[in-house]
Amino acid sequence: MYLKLFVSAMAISFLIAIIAFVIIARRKEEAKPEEIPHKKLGKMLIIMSIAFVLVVTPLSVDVAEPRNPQPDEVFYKGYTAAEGFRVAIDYNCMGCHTIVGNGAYYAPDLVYVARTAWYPETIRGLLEAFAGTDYMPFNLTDEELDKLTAWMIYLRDLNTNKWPPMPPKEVVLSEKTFKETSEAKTLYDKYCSACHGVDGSGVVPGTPNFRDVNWWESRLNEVGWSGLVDVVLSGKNAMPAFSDKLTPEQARSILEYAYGFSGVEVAGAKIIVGGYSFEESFQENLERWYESEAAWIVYWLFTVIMSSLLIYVFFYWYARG
Amino acid sequence: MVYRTQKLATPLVVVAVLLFLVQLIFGGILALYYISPNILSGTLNFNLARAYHLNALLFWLFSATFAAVIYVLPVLSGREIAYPGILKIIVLLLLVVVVGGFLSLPLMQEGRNAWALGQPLLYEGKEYVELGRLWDAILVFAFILFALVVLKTLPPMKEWPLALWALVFGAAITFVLYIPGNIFFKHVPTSEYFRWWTVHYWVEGALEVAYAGAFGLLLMVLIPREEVKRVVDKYIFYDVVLAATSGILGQGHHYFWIGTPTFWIMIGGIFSALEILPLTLMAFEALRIAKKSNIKFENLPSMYFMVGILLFGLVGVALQGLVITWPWTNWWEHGTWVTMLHAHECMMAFSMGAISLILFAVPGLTGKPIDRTFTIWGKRAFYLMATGQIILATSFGLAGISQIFNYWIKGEPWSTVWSTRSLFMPGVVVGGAIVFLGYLYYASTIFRHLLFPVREEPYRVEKAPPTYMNTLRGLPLLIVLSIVFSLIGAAGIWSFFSEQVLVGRNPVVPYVTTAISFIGLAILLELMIIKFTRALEHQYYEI
Repeated sequence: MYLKLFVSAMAISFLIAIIAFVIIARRKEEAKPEEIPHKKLGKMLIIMSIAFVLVVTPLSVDVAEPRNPQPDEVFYKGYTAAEGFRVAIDYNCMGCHTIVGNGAYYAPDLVYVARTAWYPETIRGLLEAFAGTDYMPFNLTDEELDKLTAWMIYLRDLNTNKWPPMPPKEVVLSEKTFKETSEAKTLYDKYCSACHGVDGSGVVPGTPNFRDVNWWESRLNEVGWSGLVDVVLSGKNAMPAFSDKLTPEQARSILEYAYGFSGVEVAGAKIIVGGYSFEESFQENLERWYESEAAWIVYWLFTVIMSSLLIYVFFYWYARG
Repeated sequence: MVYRTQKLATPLVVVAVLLFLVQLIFGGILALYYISPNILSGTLNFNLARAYHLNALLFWLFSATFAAVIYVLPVLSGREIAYPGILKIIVLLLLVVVVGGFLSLPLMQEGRNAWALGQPLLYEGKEYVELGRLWDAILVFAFILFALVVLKTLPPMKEWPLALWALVFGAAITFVLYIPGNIFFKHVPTSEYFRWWTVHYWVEGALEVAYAGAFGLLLMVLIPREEVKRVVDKYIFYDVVLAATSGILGQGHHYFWIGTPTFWIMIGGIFSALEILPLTLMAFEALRIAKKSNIKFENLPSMYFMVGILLFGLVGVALQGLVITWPWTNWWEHGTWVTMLHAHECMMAFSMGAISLILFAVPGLTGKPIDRTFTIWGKRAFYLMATGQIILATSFGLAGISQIFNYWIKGEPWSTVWSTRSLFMPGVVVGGAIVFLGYLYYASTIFRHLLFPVREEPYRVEKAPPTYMNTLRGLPLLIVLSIVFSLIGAAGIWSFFSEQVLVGRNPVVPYVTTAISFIGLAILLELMIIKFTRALEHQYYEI
């Protein structure tokens, strides 16, 4: 699909530009030396392109509807990926490695390494093996190693549109697919585990089984996350209200932690990482509105309009400048 | 020299020449690392040497640009620069940032940084923008002061020619966009997204728009004829429109695989392919202007380097960019040494612009004439730097192709990738040595003029009959040929997707086609450089 969009946009804009040039520019008289034809059109082109970049910036940096894991929500042994990035900045990892392909090319790409190693313990093992050697001549503390591991798990899970190319590899999902936050775990153990159980299976009769992914799906379809947050804050049936003890954000993080219990059932599932087709990513990302099919029509139209005008200006300059 | 305040450019010229030396030395150290990875490990780590390699480059470009502006400003506005006292402070602030920034970089070997308000203060491990917030703040303050001085000195905006608008806006945009790329964001896609605002728009804003403006102004100063002003005005306008539009949207080629949405693969892919339009047109336009104006240039070395920015801009920036910018080729080459081919030629175009400006300003600054030795050494500097850089960059490109096959497709361990890539290191080392030799000529030219009396005769061009090698004859054909070669290279990288490579593990097709393309482009670039510069010298402008 992508090949078609790309080629058609290019071909059609060239065609429009040539037709416009033949019809409009050819008929006009030679421009006077002091006159600059298409001055308004040129200014408009620049303003339009600046406007486009400004409009899509919030989408590109995960403000609108995130397409990547968030650095504060990826954990390893209680440390977040955000803390790990700080360590990476302090040791200038990018000065030898590439990160998502950018950086120095002295050492392997970190996304590639994280995806090949895949399992957090393997990643940490790699870091531990290399730290202090001639290749990575700094003494990383245990804490720094844990932080960097969290950060590399986050790099592994970034939605990089299927880059880097790598031999396809089968990995087993041993961890929970959902985020585990230390704060949420503490709160859950304090307020919820007495009735719902530390593993979410439910101690008191009448409580739902948090390990059942079907229960979650039906509830989320019915009331959504905000509905579940309301239940926690204002209570339901025998369950007391927690609005005086928890903020809505905390309630939400506890719920997400509890949702993670259902992931226990997908442990052992196998997925394929890597491969050699970035075009699959267009299908996989269709779910977000700004990458949906409708949005693609807009991008395609924008591309055709802008590039045909640009090519027209190019022809014009070349022929009559 | 007519204006007293122009003299303030001299310290910046010296800083620029010395920092270039620093850049080359650290480049040499980086090459040593490929011979033995534990050569300086622990004392001067690879990432530290690389940080110096990049930052020395950026600082000498900054210094040279500042120097050029200080030199040209009084001429343009017909009066002394306002507030020379503030100008001295700006020069001092720049020096503080260079020294302070460089002294704090070694802290990265221990990972000892100071953080405040969520920002790293002393240094930051992001390539190209390694300065900490402390130094950034001083630098931005210096930029603001400088903008005030410039605006105060220039005549009212209504009287500006278009070229001046381009220069001022290009420079202003470059400085404003310095800010977002430097801020620390904890989210990697966000951090990379804004880092490219700084790094990519430096090239777009500074190289294409501001340099176009600067050289337009130079032409106007050199040839004070009304028709030249009109030609320049028109060329600046279309160049800025094409470069800004394709450049702003073509930015997307950095956003294919960094965690940003898929639509960038469409926008970036198409508009960055269109980025060759302004640069190709600039080359054709230069031919046209050369043919029309038919003038003799006093300062030949400066003009040589100007040709260098034009042709490195065409082949290194536009066409090597076209090889790797298609999503189907970028997918393979991203994160490999093929990018280094493009990057090193881009930065050479950048540097040649700055060197050209310095060589233009130095005789005026010292009040000494342009003599035989100045011209001959300057010319040698140009040929050596250009040739060396072409050899160096092409070696990187060829090595990168083997990296793609061995790493991405065969999934070999890094040590294998390393050793296959290292086969091409001799090319890099030889190229680097030639560039260094060129630098020696360049530095000697500058210091000879600054420090010693200059009493030689002016350079006299030897008479030679027009041949293929010293005229512009056939140059349009060479330009078209190089576009063809860059498309061959793109097809070569694209062929990594074929069954033969992915399943059959037979890399012959991509290896051969990309080698033809990269080496062909290198030869074409060298050929065009020789033809163009010699035509300029002999004034054989017929095409």
